[in-house]
Amino acid sequence: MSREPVIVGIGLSDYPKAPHLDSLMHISQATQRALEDCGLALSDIDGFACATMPTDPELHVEAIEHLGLTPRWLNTTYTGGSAAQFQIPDAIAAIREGRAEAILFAYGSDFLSRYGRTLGTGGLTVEDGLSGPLLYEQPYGSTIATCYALAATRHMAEYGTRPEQLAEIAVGVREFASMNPNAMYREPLTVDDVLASPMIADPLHLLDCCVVSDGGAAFIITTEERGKDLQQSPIHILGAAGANSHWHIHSMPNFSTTAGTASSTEAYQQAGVQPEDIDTIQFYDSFTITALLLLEDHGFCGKGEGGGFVEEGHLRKGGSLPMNTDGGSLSSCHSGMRGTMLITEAVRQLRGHGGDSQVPDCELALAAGCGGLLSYIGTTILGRDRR
Amino acid sequence: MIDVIADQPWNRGPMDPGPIDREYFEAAAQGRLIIQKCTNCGNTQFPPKTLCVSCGQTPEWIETSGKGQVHTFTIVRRHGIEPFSGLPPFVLAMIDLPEGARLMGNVTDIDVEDVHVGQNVEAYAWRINETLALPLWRPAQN
Repeated sequence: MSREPVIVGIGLSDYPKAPHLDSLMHISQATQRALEDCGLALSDIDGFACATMPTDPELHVEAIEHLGLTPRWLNTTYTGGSAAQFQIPDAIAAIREGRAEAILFAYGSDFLSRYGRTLGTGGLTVEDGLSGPLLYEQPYGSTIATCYALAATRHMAEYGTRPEQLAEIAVGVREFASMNPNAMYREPLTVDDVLASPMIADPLHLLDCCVVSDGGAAFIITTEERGKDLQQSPIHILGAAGANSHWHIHSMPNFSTTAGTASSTEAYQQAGVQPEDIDTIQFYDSFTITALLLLEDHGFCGKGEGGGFVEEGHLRKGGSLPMNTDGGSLSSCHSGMRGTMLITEAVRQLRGHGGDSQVPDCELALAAGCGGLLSYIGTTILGRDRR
Repeated sequence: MIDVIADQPWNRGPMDPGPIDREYFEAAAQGRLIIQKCTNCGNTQFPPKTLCVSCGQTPEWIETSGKGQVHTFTIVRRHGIEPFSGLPPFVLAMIDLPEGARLMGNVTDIDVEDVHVGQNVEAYAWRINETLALPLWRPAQN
């Protein structure tokens, strides 16, 4: 009996705009759809993984209560948008060791409906006196967008990367969004459109930045044995690892390289595959520069060569490495933390359920989450078959 | 020593630094830009911590020259929170110190379009109250 981990059910809640759902309802709706997808019952779930944003600090325990779960195994590690990628390695171990039979991963947020669209240029408002590490950046007017802009400027200075090359990332992701009827923005884009959009924080334009949306996702991990007689072909988890370099942007040790170099090295080793074996990537694309750095740090091209690689069209439909086939967070859905959605889209592609955006002969998918401010990078490699 | 200016009233929100952070902002109010250096292993670090992240020993403060170089920067064009929402365009940068640390700061007293990576800058401090000041940067005088 194989206790190797497989993903058997996936579900998305209503997005990108769902004022009829709050965060808990996103989680329960996505869960319902993931259970329906695979044929497991809620009573089969004995493990739960969920990360919570600072804006929903008790979401994990509230979700457990809301779903009526009493999990034997629980992981609520918070690393920002890569939380799912950081929780998966522990889930794999729990499945292999028999500490859980069926683990539900779930995330959901009513971010857009609750906070509007100012997340990226807002930051935190401090009512009482500011203290702790934010003392060293907040008084200078740092926002989420400026953090990524600092990395983009440095990458350009070191390697000659150009704004048009970053823009090409947004254009390619938008092309896939046009094939997703639920995506927030579906009108085709050109590089010139991106460059003509308002500058937010040089060199990042509005269209270099992700959308802010509502949305949630769930997926279920169980054993290969249990997965055999469920409704969908099980998708194998072949490699999973996370690595960090800092939390606040002021402590980023190298502004043009992320910890993805470490997380990907370990994940490739576990899976026994190389970057050139991967058929599609589902990357955190909070900003165009996020995807560019992940691309280089996962070895799909050399350090500093990301701009040229992107310009060759590899990430597009029909390219050698289609990226964010659901429209990503740049065009489709970003409700605070997107790590779970990277997995659900990778599974959809590996099942061959991608519809218009289906990657041909898709056998291996790599999902990379980026949490914090380019801080915590998690890499998950999924396969149609066990290798 | 770095200049301490008080001609603009502080408007960037209440600051309540904890014990170790307080020493940094107090030094700035006295015209000194300080970072930590480990007497055991020689590592320099910033922001300040109770231990040296390189060897685990207790670091000490050292006073820097107040000179620095722009490592990377952005021109902030949109900001959603007061008092910054009325400020754009302004420059947010990471500054390398020759003594070995890297700090975030604003580069002021310059046309934002003229800021560049590698630019030489010097620190000054903006008085927050009687005891604390915030270090900022402007183009080096020579």
